Amino acid sequence: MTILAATPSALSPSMIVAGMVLVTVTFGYALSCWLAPFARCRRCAGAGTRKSLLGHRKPCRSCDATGWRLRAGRRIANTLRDLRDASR
Amino acid sequence: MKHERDDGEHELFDRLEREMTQDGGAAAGVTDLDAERARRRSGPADQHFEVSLDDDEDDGGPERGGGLVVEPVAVAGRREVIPSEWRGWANIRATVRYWLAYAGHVAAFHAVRLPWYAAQALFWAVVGVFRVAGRQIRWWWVAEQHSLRQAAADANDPGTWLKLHKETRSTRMWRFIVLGGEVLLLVLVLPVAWAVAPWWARVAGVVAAVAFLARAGRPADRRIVSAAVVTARLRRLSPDIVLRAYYAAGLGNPDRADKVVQFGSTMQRDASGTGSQVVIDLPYGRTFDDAVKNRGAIASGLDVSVNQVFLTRDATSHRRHLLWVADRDPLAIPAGKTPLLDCKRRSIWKAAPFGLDERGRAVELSLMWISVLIGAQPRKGKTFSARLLALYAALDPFVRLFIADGKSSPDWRKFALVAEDMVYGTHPTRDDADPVTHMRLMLRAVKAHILRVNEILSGLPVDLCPEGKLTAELARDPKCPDLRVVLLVLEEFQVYYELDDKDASSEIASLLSYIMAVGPSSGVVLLSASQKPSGVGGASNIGQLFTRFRDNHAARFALKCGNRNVSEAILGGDAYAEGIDASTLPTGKPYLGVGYLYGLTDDTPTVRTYLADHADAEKILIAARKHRETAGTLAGMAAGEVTVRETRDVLADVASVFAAGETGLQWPVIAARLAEAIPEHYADLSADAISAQCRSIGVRSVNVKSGGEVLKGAKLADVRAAIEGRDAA
Ligand SMILES: [Zn+2]
Repeated sequence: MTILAATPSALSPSMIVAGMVLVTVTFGYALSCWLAPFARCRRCAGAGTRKSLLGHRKPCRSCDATGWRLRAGRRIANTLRDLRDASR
Repeated sequence: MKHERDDGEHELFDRLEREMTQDGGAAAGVTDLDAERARRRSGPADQHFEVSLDDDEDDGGPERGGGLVVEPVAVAGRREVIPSEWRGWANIRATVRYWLAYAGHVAAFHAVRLPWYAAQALFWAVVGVFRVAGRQIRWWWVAEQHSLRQAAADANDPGTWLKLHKETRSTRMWRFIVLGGEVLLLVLVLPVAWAVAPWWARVAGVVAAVAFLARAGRPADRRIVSAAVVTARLRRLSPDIVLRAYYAAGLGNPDRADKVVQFGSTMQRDASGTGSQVVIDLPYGRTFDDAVKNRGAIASGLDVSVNQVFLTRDATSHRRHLLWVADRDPLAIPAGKTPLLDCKRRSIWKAAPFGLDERGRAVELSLMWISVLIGAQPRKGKTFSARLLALYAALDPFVRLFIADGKSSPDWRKFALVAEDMVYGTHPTRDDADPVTHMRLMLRAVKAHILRVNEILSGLPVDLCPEGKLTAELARDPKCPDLRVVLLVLEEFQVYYELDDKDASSEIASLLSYIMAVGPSSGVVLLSASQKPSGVGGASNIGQLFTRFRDNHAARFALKCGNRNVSEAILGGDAYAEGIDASTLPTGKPYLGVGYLYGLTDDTPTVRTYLADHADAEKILIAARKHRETAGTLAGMAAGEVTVRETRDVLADVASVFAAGETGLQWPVIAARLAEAIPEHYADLSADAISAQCRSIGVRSVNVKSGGEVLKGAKLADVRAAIEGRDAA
């Protein structure tokens, strides 16, 4: 992206904006994975329990009833780190 | 830091006080403190505050040696009610003047540096703003808990994370309020205060703020304000410390009247101002050697490095010696470049500058009439020290130089500028097809020189030659060109005792023995260096000659050795018995070129040799060559003379004894034919000798069949090949 932006011939305003947005989003997401690694569970919307088909509440299996899930980015980072540590 | 300096000053005043009481200052009431201080300030040692090592000085000292101290120095007892510097108007005035001068100096020192301080402070204050802000943000964000939260996320443990998160949230809220208040204060109150306050308060505020921020911003080891007065901590020796050291080293027992250690003198600074010294009397029956053996323990008792402790024998009694404790390790201070760099003419009849001893005194070596052995581990400065002395001799144009460099190193190559003859190594090279024969011829020439000198000297009238010995005048007399002083340098001489050719080794060994025995008194100075002086293999005659040659050197210089056997080989057994062991010399870069010089004087100085590196040596040798050109004494190899040697081309000689059609000859046949054809050279040549000689120059020894008998011999083809190989090289 930056390489493209650096070549003067391919400079168009929309591309610069798109590039900046992409960078901001990526960094913002990485930052949130670092500072707030957990987000609300999507299955139960953070409640920890769900309504079953029959209508009574039961613990959410997706988040072990905590209501929180690890962000996908953090999950990837953890996996990569574990791989690296295992290879040492 | 400040505290220490206070102690130092306190200590200084204690001493002042004590000494003044002693020399009647108290009785007179008035002492010229200015003069006293001037005296103190004059010496280099007095720029420091001396810090006593002994914590117990005030309570009278722990062990005073049973009252046997011969009043070494004024010993502190009761302190005066009113210190002498505040007693009497004259003293008070002098003291106030002193402190005013001191304060004036400090003020002037810092005033001059003020702009620099300001610049530095501003720079670090900018850094400090970020540091302080960063520190507060970390505090607000509960940074110390961060690693715990991350660990929870790493472990995918939402429970723990939630708990920590909740805890943190309340803390962060509180801290946010505190920080908000702080910012509010800065934003609202500060401008108001600025507007209201008088100018001096503003200045003070800015200075304080900058100082605070600079302090926060600067690295801990970078001080903005430098000290105006240097304080160095020196070991101040007191009699108590000395006694403590000797008793701790087991050299006496304070509780037994017949085992106490006594002082033979008062303790004093030595003349050079680099250490303290005192004469020690050991208990009856303990000897100087005991002290030398326990030097390490004494150093430990004195709480100094062993390199700072020096013991010197006393002529009057074997239980008495001089203890000298240097303020700092004197051997680690290099002696500097050689004074020979001025390239002036020197005289071999005067002492050669060699280095500095442990007290910084010049050590000189008078080369005439002696032989010097220098030994050490490789790369400890052996060649450099030998070369230092050879350079001195080179600067005397009337000294003939003969150099045999057994290791064929570049260190001696430049001596070709002045040397009359030089031998490199033992193996044929481009420069020298047969260095071993060359060596034999050179030594024969030296022997012939000795014989000639003695012949001339015995024929001279008594008024010219009073004691039948060479004199400085004779050695320079143009009418007696044969009476020059000769310097024979033998670098790694042991290799010439270990040649494959035993006959050559044996001849060289006996020549060297002769030169060693007769040479020095005939004006032949021997300068030998070896990294392997312990002896050459076998119990052969050569081995004995080697040992005898080595042990007959008059002066020995041992640099750092690998073990005490090597040290003993260089310095001799007597030196080891005296406690001198070159394997105990300190190791490390600062100690290169440090060694013991033994045999010249009664005390054995630890010498830091002057440095003359390759470039220096070359410069000196070029100058030496000029001196020789001026004096018209350039001769031999240095003068470009092709040495007319009665040398034999052994290969050519061997080739010549092959009759037409013969492809190989047995060694006994070759030896016999050579003896017959060239009797003046090969008259008593043995088969083994010619075999060894040929093998050393590249001719194989192979089986040759002749008359039905197979014996070792040489092929003509091999001899020819060796000749071609040599000529091509
Ligand atoms: Zn859930």
